[in-house]
Amino acid sequence: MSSNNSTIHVAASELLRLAPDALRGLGFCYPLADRAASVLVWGEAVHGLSLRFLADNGPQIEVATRHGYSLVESGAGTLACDELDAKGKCLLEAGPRALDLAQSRMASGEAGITLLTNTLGGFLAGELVTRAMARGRAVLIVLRAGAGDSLYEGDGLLCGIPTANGPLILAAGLEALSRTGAADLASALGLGGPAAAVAGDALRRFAEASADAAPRLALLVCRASAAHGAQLAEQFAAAPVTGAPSWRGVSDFERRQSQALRHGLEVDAEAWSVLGHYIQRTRIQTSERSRTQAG
Amino acid sequence: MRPASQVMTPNIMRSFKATGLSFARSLVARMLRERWSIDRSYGEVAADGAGLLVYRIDAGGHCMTFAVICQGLDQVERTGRIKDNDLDFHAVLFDGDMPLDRIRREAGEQVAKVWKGRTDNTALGWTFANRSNRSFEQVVQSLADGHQPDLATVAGGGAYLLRNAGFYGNGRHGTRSWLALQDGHPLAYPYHVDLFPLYLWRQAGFDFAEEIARARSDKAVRLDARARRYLGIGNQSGIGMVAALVRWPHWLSGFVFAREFILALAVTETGPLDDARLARFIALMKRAERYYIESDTDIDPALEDRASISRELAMLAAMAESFAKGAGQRGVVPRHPLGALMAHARANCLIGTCEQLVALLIDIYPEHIEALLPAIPAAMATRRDVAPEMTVAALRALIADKYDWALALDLSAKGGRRYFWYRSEENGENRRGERVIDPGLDFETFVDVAGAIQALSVRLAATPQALSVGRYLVDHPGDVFIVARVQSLAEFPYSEIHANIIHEDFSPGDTIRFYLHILGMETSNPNNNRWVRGVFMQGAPLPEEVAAGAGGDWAFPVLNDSGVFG
Repeated sequence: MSSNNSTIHVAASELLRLAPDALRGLGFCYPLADRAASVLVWGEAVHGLSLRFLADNGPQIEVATRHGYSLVESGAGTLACDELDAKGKCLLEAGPRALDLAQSRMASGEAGITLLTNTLGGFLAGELVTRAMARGRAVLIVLRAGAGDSLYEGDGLLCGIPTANGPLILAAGLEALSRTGAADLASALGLGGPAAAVAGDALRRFAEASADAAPRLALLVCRASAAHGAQLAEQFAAAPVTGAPSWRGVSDFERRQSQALRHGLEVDAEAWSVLGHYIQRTRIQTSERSRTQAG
Repeated sequence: MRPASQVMTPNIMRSFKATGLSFARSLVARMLRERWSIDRSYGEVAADGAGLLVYRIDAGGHCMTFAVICQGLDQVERTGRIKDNDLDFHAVLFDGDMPLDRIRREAGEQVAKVWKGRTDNTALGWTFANRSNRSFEQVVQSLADGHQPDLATVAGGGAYLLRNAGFYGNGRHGTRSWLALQDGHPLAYPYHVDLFPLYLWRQAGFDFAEEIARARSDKAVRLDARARRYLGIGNQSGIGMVAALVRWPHWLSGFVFAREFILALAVTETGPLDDARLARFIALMKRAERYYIESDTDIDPALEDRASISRELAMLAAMAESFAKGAGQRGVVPRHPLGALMAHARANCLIGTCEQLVALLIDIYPEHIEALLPAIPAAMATRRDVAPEMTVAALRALIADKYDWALALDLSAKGGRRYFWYRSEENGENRRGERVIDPGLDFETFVDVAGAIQALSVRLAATPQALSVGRYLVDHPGDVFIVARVQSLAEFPYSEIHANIIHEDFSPGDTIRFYLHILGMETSNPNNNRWVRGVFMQGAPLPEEVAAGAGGDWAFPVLNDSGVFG
């Protein structure tokens, strides 16, 4: 039974079940739809924005699914820093690729950085933080919101560290990189001297570069070090988030997910209807002959 | 332990039988342990069946409500397929105590909109049922005439009054997510929330039959306890189950591993066996022997030769009895008596007999069942994810080790890629189409594990071996699903069906039967190779027995010489 005329009550598991089909209807292949669905559900549970994002940006998202990535790999050295151009692919599909790429660099080093450009849906960056922590990795994300990203209202930093007391998620404004020194931040994450300097330099340049129309993210993934949690919390607290209301209360991410799971979601009815439209694209008209193969 | 290469083939999987690990059995065990009470708190049924029954459940201190509505029973035979909107019975399982006005509002939404209706998270699930076309009216009329129905006839018709037409919970229609059930909730164990309504449908079927009979005639009698015990709840399931098994390999692994582990413990136990355990084993064998003769008598022997299974179980029971007497074969009791029994069965008996023996060997170790039950949800909770730091070389080695069965399949042979699964526009029901004929290939439901593995292997072979998986996926993002599957299942044996599922010779009925027996279906009868029907909860203790904590050993209910259960 709908809550009211403008929202509809949906169970989190219902959305998780339907989301892959909706994304396939938007042009995602099945493998990518499966992964992207969990990102989408996270964004709806924590921020209440995913379905609106799909409804507002559907055609643009669909066109971008046909594009490939453009990758400029850094050379071997202290710290890998790759530039991945998403060619307009939204964070539902580009985010996991960027995270996996950065993490993969840890096989030959203590950290990896991916600079992801030309993407969409910055509000979904938090899912990458929770995913990295579930893998036992710490992650620092610098988000430069683009003017073209209608749902995100400012730039900032997100950081996640799995600790013995549970996941620690921090948010700060971009000035945290200039105030404390990006290298200091990297050191606080546990990187050694040379690697911290390289990482800090890459992150600072990224934060100081001119804004684009499309959102950009820098992801630094490294081994978790719970010992650094307190120091990082202090540094982040010194540069509070001023814009980006969706990033306020990041310590609440887990609670909001649990609430959504327990009580369900009140989603925009019109956006839900748009989701249904994309799902319907994947439903196939059946011949009589094939109907006998039903089950 | 038996290797996955032996166990996870369709010809073994289709012969799996329900055990104490099966979800319906573990549900009833919990109900008994906690002495759940199920009381009818409201009832109003007319002679044509139209009416409402409401049950209040106290599950170890936690309250639930089950409400069943019927719009009246006509003479139309209902298939209960998801595409149909006409159903005999609609029901809701609520969490908590629900007032009548709330129940009636919910019923209105359900009846008016059926598959398109919406609810909220006070509802654990919507469920539907239809009458048994063969037995319901016969039973009602017998009761109305003042006597008990002929149970042997009802047994031949499937041994049920109502046939389940599906449970729609875990978020469907807006119901509560299963993961939202807190630890300690009586239905927090996997599938218990889906299967508890089956138990309740069974009771509702009895109550509707009695109420209709009473409305028809003043001399109507109640269905006696023996008949109630013998009857179960009918079920029919189709090819959508195959897609579900492929989608959730960790579930598959958790369940089958628990079975195989207990089996391994049983067959390696050194004799002499505990007297009580051996006695129970022999008693179960004899009941099973008889059950195979009495139940579901219209199963095609080509699909399951129940007469031969019965004979072979009798032979194995005699062998077990010889162990009990210290005699054994040629006067020698084997060092591992149950292992010897199993080996003898493998050498001399049908696969169906062997797998029934496996199930019985598991059931005589309740202590192992209790120990392994928590392992199943733990495995099911595992999340599929990529390990991006792994190298391509390591991934190839993993595939060669765990997916040798898939690499060995000749997918290019005739019929090797005949079918595909898709969701129909009629309520999203799963269908199977032919690749060269039917539309919808672009939105194919993933079931082709073997094809995906072979395609991935080709691409990996052409990739620099030292490359990381995370880097590889930038160039091949479409491989993320199969890569994550291979990596996350590395430590989960028994997670894949070792078959080419889209092959023209693949019979979905084999895996449907497997899934149904994991759920706890007591018998299964393939209608054809795409639908399987059978009965759940046959022999399960009645509510009054559950409340008393009695009647735990309920498998293989048999009729006595008078054709009455007992």
